[in-house]
Amino acid sequence: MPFTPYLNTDEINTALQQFAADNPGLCTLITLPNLSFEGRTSYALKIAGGAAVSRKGVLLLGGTHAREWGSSDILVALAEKMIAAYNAGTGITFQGKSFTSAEIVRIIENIDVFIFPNVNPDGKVYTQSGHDWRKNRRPIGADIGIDINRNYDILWDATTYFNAALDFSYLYAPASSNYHGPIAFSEAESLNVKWMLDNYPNIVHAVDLHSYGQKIMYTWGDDENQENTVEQNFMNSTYNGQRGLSGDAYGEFVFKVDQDRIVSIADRMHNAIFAVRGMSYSVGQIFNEVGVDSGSSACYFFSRHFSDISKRKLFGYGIEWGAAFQPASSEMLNIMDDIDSALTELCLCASEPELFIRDSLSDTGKEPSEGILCMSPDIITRKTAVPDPAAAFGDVTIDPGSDRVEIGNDNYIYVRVHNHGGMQTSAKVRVYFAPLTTSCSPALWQFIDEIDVIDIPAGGFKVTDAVVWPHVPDPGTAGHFCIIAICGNTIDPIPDTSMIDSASDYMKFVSNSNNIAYRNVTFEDVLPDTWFDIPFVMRGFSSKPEEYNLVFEAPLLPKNTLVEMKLRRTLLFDKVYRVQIDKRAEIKNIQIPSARSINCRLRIKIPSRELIKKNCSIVVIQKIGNQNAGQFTVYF
Amino acid sequence: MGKTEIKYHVRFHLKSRVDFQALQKNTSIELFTSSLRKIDDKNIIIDAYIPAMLLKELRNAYYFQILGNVDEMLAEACKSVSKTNRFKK
Repeated sequence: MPFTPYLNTDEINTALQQFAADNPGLCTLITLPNLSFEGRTSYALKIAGGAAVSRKGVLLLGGTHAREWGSSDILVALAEKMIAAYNAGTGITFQGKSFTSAEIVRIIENIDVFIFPNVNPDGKVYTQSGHDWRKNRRPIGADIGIDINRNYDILWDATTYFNAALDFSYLYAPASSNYHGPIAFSEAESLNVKWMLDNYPNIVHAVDLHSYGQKIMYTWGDDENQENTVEQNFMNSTYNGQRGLSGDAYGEFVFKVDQDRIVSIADRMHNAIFAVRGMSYSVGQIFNEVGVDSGSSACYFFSRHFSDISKRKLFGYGIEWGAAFQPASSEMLNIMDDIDSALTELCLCASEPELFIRDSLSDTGKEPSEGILCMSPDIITRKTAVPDPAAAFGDVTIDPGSDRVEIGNDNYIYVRVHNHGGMQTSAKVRVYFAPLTTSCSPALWQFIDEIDVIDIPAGGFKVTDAVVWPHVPDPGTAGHFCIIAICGNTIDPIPDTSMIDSASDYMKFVSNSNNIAYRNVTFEDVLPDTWFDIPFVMRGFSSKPEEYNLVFEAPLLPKNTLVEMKLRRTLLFDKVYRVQIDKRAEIKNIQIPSARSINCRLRIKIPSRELIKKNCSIVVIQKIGNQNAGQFTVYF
Repeated sequence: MGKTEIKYHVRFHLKSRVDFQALQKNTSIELFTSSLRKIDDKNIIIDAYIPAMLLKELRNAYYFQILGNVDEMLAEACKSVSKTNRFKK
């Protein structure tokens, strides 16, 4: 593509409108609701093809800072190339880095790519008429402009949140190029970005393009990241006045799985840039790369799911492209390749396997899910192991239901794990149970087992092997168990549950994370198969066959306790006696050959769970006539 | 920074974070933190716009290179702004 001059605001708008008009099944023009101070309308473009219903979103922002013109060009060029490649069935090559046609299809047909290339149109118009400018153009008293990238609602009032040793006068001075505005989200431009996130809750990655510095940056920006102390977070006023200093006790909390994923994606963007023509962008945390950060987009993006657990987790990045605000034409073209390569790689990351366990039959994996949450059709319990679970539970249009869980016995749990990403994948599934409770806090969850499930096909599902729930314990309550299944892998990690501390949080979490589902399963309130199995030997004493009686004495056992006794008479034939015990029971006329031993098996079935808790016993007495020939006692 | 003031695009070589913070306090100086590069624990390279009237004063306190006159650089860049609309059909 020959270099085209820097796009002006009208041209950017026309580009988006034309892409949407020319590709009605592929592109959607989004009109942002807030006009700029000078009355300009902002637009975004959604690129999404194929029939997939449940899709992640990637939001790519440019043009926040007025003089950083190239951000808009980078994004319009990316949209143009993606659309052209998808329509033509080709790949995209950025000098030394190529993406195959299959990868482009994977992106377009599995995720929503949102491109918002000119966040601050007034600023761009002003600077492209020969004025150096960073902010928007709204007057504030005698001064003009608010720095949009200091106007987001994350640690906005810096003097409250940060250490007093740090000077933030530049944020509060309207004349400053970093003036953060009268309040957070005071500006149409930042509100438009927020509107995108609020109206497209499937967005899970967002990148804000800036210049310059050749950096790929990730959250947090207020202090060093730490993974151990959840209480140290931007919402906790206890730590106001402590943030912002390197090497002290305060660090901003991030879950390790998130940190690993964030860094992994940033590294992949770095490698995608490097492959174009060898440019090596530095990769690091905002705080380490550019210092303390207040009210910025990337941190706001990532903060949203901490502030409101019902919001989907959104990873925020900032890319500072190039080494000048308005590089020469030839260099800008190279930078466009560099950054478009990184953003395409990011979209590939987003199109990678997406695991989910359905909350209901109508759940498509979309987050948040809607409808009933407590009856996942993908969590299936059985009293006995199923020989071929893939066949037995292979029709995902039906709910196989769940057997009642039997207290005291082994039960078997199967989980159907779905993958609506564009690649086959594997996962780990963790299964927990919780007793009947008003607040199913993870603190109440008891781990049952973890199982690997491999080769989950793209767009398909797989049934796990049996997760054995051994000797299901007495829950001590009436009603049901809650069985919770959580799946994840390195790309779509098992979600963190430590932020859940109320029933409301739990429900929001389940709705908002498609990696987790649960099912309430009724348990049997009796112990039909709680058999105590007691092998013993009966021996005849005489040289000729004799008949014996067996007497069972168990005064603490309930009347309807069933005693079953098997006598191994021959290899092929067992004699089975069954009696109901009522303090005392007797099996009469058991024939024992002369001086022989008979292997016996006493099985006692006790129907009342309460009685197990008592120290009851059964005495087994072998009698001949009225005389004791021997006895033993079993304690329960 | 007044609109008519001449500004220079400069690259500071600072010897401590204290120098950085001192510059940051001066709202006449626009520091570009995104350009910040740490050479080691103390030494920092960072670009900025400074008003011409501060040039001499800053020369006495810090080491920096002048990368260009901001208005001249911008005027040159504006020549590369599209004057048409290539997407209009």
